[in-house]
Parts: sequence; C-alpha cells; structure tokens
Amino acid sequence: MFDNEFDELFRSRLKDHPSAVPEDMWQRIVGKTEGRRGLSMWWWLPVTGAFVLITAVIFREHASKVLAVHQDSAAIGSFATTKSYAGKPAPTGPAQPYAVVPAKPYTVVPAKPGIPASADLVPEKPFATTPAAPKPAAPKPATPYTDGPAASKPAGTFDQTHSVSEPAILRSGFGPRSPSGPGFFSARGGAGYWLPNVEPLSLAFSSPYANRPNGKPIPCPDPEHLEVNSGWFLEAYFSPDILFTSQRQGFSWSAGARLGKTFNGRFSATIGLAYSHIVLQGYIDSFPVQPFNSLDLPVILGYQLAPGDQFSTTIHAGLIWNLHYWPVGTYYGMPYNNNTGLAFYFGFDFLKPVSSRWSIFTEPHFRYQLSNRSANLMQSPDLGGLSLGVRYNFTRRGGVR
Amino acid sequence: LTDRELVERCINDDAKSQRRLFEHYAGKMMTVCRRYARDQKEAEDILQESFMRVFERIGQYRFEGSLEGWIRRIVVHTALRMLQNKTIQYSPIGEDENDTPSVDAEALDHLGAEDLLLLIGALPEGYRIVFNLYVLEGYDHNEIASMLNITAATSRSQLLKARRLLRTRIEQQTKLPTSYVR
Repeated sequence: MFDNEFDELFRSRLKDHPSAVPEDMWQRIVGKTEGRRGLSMWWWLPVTGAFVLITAVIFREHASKVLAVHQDSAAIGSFATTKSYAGKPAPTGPAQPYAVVPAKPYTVVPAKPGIPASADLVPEKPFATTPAAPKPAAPKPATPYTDGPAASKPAGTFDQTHSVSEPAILRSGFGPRSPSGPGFFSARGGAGYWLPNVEPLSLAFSSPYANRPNGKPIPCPDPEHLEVNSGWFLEAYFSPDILFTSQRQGFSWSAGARLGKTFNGRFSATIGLAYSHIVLQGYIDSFPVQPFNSLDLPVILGYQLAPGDQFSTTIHAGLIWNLHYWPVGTYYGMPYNNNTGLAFYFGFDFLKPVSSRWSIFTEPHFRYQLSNRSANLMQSPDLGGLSLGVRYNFTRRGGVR
Repeated sequence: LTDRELVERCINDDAKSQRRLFEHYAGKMMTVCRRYARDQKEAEDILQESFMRVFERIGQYRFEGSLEGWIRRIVVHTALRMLQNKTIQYSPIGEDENDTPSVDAEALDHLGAEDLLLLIGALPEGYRIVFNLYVLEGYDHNEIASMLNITAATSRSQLLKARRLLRTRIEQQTKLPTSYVR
C-alpha cells in the first residue's frame, strides 16, 4: 500500500467520526468564559488608576511650584507699586493689574560715593559691603517715578543704578508685558516659572540687569531664550509598548526620531519617522501569530501646558500615517495588509533640560487606530507606551543652571 | 438555521445559539482533540479551551470556507499551543527510515475509526503531531516546520517514522485479533 493510500484511509475514516463529549463540558466552558471576562475587565482598572495617579502627582508637584513663585512674585510686584519715593508717596498712575498689599517702608538714604545720585531707592538696611562715605552727600532730588511701561528703557540697559538688596533685584511679578520687551523673572535661585495665560511683567526697575554692590551685573538670561523649547529641535526616543488586546503578547517596542519647531513659545509641530516591532503571541483566527514590523510617519502638534526653565509639560496630539507594515520572516498566517492607514496619537510630554541644548523627556502616549480596524486584530492594535528620549535644541537656550 | 445566522447570533452573545453551535460540532472536534492528546483528560481540556476561543473569536469568522473548517483550525492550534507548553521530543533524522513494513489493504479494512484513533494515540508525541498535521490537516512540511519551530527535514523524518510505526502496529494487530492495548 502506497503512502497516499495509507494516508487516505486515515482521512476517510476519521473525517466525520464523532467522539463522546462529557455531559458537563458546556457548563465548564460557560463557567470558564465568564471568569475570564471578569478578569479582563478588572485588569484595566489598576493600570488606568496608576496612570491617572502618576499624572496627577506630577501635575500637582509642578503646579505647587508655579503657584509658589507666582505668590512670591505678586508680593514683590506690590513692592514696586506702593513704594515711597524720595519721601513722597508714589504718584498715582493707572490702576495696576497686580496685587496690592501693604507697602514695605522704604526710606531715602544718603547716596554712597561712586553711586550715581539718581540711585536713591534702597531698603532700610543698606548693603554692609558699601564702602564708608568720606563725607555724607545730600539726598538727590527724586527722579519722578512712573510705574507705567518702561518704554524709554531698552531691555538689557541701565538708566539707573539701584542700590537695593539682592533678593529684591532678583524677583519680580506678573502683569502686562512691557513694550520694551519681556521682563525676566528669576526666582528661587534662578528657576524661571510662570503660569499659563499670565504674561510676565517687566521688572519694576525696568531693567533685566542689575548691579551687585561690587558693580558686577547679575547675569540674567536673555528673555528670548526663556522658552525651554524655543526654535527647532530634534528628538530621538525609544518606547516599550503595550497593545490593548486580549491576545497574548511579547515585548513590543518602537523607536524613532522627529524634527520639530516651537511657535510662540507654547505651540510646537513635529514630523518624524517611527519604527515599531509588534509581538503578539499565540494564534489569531487559528493561525499562529508572528511578529510584525511597522514604519510610520507621525505628524504631531503640541501645546505647552506648564512651561518652565527646569521642567515643562506638553500635551501632544496628532496623526500617524503607516508607510509600510510587514511580517518578520516567512509568513504562514492569515492575509495581512501592508499598510494599516491612519492612527490617532495622544501623549503627555514631561521634559527636563540638562544643558543649554540637550533635554531629556518621557512621554506616556496612546495610539488609536482610525482606519483598517476591521482588518484583523494584529494589524489594528491600539497601544500605549512610554517614550524615553532626548531632545537637541538647535537654538541655544540661556539660563540653565 | 444556517451557519451565517448561527454565527451572527453567537456574535451577539446569544447563549442558546452558542450552545447549539457547541453541540453541533463538539463531537467531531472531540475526535480531533483525541488525535492530538495523550489521554482523555487532555483531550477534554483541549476541547474546552478551543470552544472558549471559538466564542471569543467568532466575530473574526468571515464566512470564507466552512464554519466547521474554521473551528477545526482553532482546535488544532489550541491543541498545538497546549502541547507545546510541554516538551515534545522529536527523534533525530535518518534513523532506520528505509525499513518500512508493508501492510495488507485487507488488514486495514477491519480497522474502525476508534482503532485508528488508538493507533494514532499510541504514537510518540513528535510523530503523532506531525502525522496529524500532514495527513489529517493537510499542512505541508514547511508550514509544519514553522508552526512547530522545527526544520522541514525534521518534519519529513517524523512523518516517515510515524507511518512506519503505524504500519508495524497494524500488522501486529491483524496478527492479534484481540483488541490492541497501547
């Protein structure tokens, strides 16, 4: 008997042969299925909860820092608006948009030698390092104080030399941006913070620089470089990914690079290339699943929720176009599309500058497949991931401490 | 009730239709499970897991080909997955492959489906799986190699040995008319 005859005998006799099935088999299947459904529902709760919790903690931490600086700055702003000048109350000008608190008592003290006579606004406690005056000088008549926009004072230049305490120089408040240019705010040892939708106010002294008692200027970054993400930037990242499917899965990951530009300090747009390695295991539609690779073109817009000199948070949303989708090795499974089409991208970016050009970031993200969802499970995976990457700013940023 | 109507009701989680589908195909699928399993308990586990997967994935059935064929594929792959969790020994290639006994066709006429199931079940695991996939499911050696993570040559070797062992045992069985005990 030939092999094919031998094989055919087995085929024909076993093809439709039924075997006895245990009576309780159906009940066992129903019970197991319900248990599995319950488990799959509960599995998402801790994952979602953890994500929300982590995000909330990060935001809370960041928001408290911003609020503290805002409060400090508002108080200092009141100092600028209510100070006495040459023994007289400050002239009443237009209503100030910032806080009004009881004024600190400031008095006019004799000007020190070597200091221009116009430098007459000092706290009650002058600097100890101020050299003793050989002979007292008469108080200089007060320069009329105006609290309006310092239009005549270009940013970065002096028209007065102030002998004030260093903390006062280093702090400022919030309010309308000066026409002469944005003021710089350095607080808490130099970290620059401001709240969303609050424009920085020019310094009460209208100058982004101020003299220390020894005459050396306190280095203040150029306000144009305050935005952490100003100008063009290039990012590279790696992200472990989790596919939102009940299918068993291995270690999926993606990596990519994207080029971006920041507009108006807060908005950004990026375009790049992303390579993904998708590992599902087991069987789909009774076919064994092999790993797949995917090459995508992400186009993503961003908005900085909480900019900062040392830390910033950006919300990202955009579209991902699939360029090519292909299996690893020879594929014996079900047919697949070599292009999965369009997906939606959403992510939160937490960015930390580490030098004048380099930053590191982490970005929890979510990808939702918009097209070809019905193709099959392995080609339309919604996924979540945590990008870890570096950013190179082509525009050097100042004031990194 | 056509297959399409039955499937559509199962997709909508209609319990009666699901049970109906199960009862319609469970017997035949149990035969498939017994071909792959080492014992009755393992066959029942495979059947249970397979139908759970059938109902999970019923929405993916696209009415291309028979429903029975689709369910059978799921059963086969579920069996493979469950067996592959245990170590399967594939004997080395080229071991006494030319010494195949001939079997009289008349001897085979006396063997029923249950006898054949017993013969298949008595094969070593590697032989049994490859024989089932090649002879009864219709996969070629390249596909089997991919599914089992072995080489195509190993698959061919296992098939030859399986056939040879089956012929030998059938021959022995015809000489011993009493029921064959594995």
